[in-house]
Amino acid sequence: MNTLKDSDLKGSHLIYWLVVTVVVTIATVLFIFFSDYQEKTEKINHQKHSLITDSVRAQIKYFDESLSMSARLFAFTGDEKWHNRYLDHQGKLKILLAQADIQNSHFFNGQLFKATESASQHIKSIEANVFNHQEIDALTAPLFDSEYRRFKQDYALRVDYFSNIDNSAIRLNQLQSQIAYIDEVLTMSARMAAFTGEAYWKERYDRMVIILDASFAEALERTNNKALSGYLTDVSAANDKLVMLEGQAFELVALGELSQAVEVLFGPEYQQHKDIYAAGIAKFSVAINQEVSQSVTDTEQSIQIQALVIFAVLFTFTMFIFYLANRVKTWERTLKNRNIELEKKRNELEIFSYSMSHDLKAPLKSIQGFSRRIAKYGERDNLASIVELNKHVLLNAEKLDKLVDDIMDIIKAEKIDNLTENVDFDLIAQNISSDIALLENTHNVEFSADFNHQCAIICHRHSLYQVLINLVSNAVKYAKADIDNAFVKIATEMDSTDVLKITVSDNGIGINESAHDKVFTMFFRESSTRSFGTGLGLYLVKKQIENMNGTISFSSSPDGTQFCILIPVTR
Amino acid sequence: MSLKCNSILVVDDNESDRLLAKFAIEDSGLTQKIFFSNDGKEALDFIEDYENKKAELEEEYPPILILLDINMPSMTGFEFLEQYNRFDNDKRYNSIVILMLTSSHSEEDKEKAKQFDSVKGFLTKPVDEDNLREALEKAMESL
Repeated sequence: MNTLKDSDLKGSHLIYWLVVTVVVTIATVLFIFFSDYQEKTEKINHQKHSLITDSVRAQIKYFDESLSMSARLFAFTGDEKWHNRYLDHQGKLKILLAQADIQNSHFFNGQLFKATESASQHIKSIEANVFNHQEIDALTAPLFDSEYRRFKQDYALRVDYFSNIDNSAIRLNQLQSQIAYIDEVLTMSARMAAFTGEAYWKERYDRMVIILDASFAEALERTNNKALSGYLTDVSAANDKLVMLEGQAFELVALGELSQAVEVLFGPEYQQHKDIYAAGIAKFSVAINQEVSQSVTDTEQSIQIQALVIFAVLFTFTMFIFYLANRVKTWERTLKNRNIELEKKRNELEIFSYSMSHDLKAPLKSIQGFSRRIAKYGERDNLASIVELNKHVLLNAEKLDKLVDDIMDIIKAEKIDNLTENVDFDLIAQNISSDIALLENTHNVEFSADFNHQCAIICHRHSLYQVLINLVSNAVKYAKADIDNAFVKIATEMDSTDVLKITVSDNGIGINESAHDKVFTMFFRESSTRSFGTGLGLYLVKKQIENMNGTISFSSSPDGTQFCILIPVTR
Repeated sequence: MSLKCNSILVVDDNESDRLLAKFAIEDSGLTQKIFFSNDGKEALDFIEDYENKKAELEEEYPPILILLDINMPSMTGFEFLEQYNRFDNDKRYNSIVILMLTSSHSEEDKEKAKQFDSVKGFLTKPVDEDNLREALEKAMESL
């Protein structure tokens, strides 16, 4: 089975698609949210706008009416009170216009002041003339002529231009302003009729009463709030009284009793109902304004909560995707490492099986060669030669046996065995000593063991034994033949981090420097020396040490070799 | 194969391998005259001693084929080849063909051996009649 190709291991496209998903989702959600947000914000702004414009418009209309009325009443009565009221309201109107333009520049952008300015200037100049004159008869004329009325109408139209309402609460607010304004108009019309006896005022009055009735009807219809309808009913009741009194006044005017009509319209009863009317309207105004602000606040809050929820969801989603991407990266890395490991193992296995088949075949072929010869000699009864050749058959059979043993050991070493046990080093040393005694030429080599670790050690006993016997028997095989103090020593030492250090040193022929990097490879046999083994010994040693999570290194010179093994152990 | 030669030298430290080479040569009918050396040093001495050996062994000397092992004590096959270079100008040795005896894992050794002009081929041990013939035929083709 083949290992995976690098391209198969890339989680990058997965990550790429995850990121694309995140971006698309976030973009979509944000787009939907912001279009919704924009719509809602526009609505809120529109409501705010309506509220402000309507409030300003109503106040302007009220002040305008009040200014006209004050000027006219001053003209009729010559009472300084009306002049003062005029000046006071004029100042307030001026401030209101300026404030409206400055504070709400977003909505009005200076247009309100500009729009009303020219009409207002004309009206003011006419009114100013009135206050400058001394004789009352002469004064009334300019305030009632067509020019003055034309400018007043023009002014009213321009102010109304700034009103455009569709929201129910705001429409109520507008109706409220209208009711307050019309009340002022009615009072003024009635009073003007009382002063002048002109039919015009009765006509205006009748026209406005119809509008007022319609306004009350619409306001009541739109009001679904108990408190609001209560205030409205109060105002309506006060209005009925006022209309009744005004009706009396108009009857008196019709009879020519102008002064009696004036008395009715300025009398305490009339004033009392005017006050009730104004108070009701004020309460209604406060309540409706609260309702409008509440609806605006509610919408704003709902947008904020929605935004919060959306951002929380997006944040969680993004985090989740990041987490996924991270996991994919980790999987990819793990898979790559595993793949590299597998590739390495596969290559090793390939070399191993290829070499193995040849190596197993060599002694077999030798045995075949000798056997054929033995058969030939058998025909000639050449017993001495047969005995001689039989030695070679056995030798090769032993070689084959050793090879098979080594292969079995390697196969075993491939399986990671977690079984650890308490290791008796003295017993290991004894076993090694007796094992190497069976090797050829060992009588020249002195074996010694020096265990300096002062504690019980738990590790893979069998693997450790195999490693040590391999290294020691190598030292024995490659000992210098021409010296009489040949030795091989095992020494142990325990360091503080639970790592056991084992050194195996000899004063043998050493390993040729050019072969140092191949010592632990499969079938390593040094060419400058007589080859004894299968070439698998040191490969097996390294494999076993790696399985114990240890490391092995060596230094070698023509004076000897020292192997250094480090293995983590349990005390 | 009608290959015939006066004598063959087998250089190998392993007795089994030497014997098997001997049987293979005998069975192939190349020659009955086979010399043996345990290592490169012995082989070198054997070849160098031309005058004496010629007198002693007559037409069997010098051997026309050397089967040379690589891993041997005291002098390896490569060390032998380095020393053997000095016979290059001596016409008496020009007809000697050297075949290296190798194991299956000696790709590196083969590459190294190919650098010597005198090496004409390789033989994987153990030597038998078939692989000896095959290696010889190959070597003859390249000559």
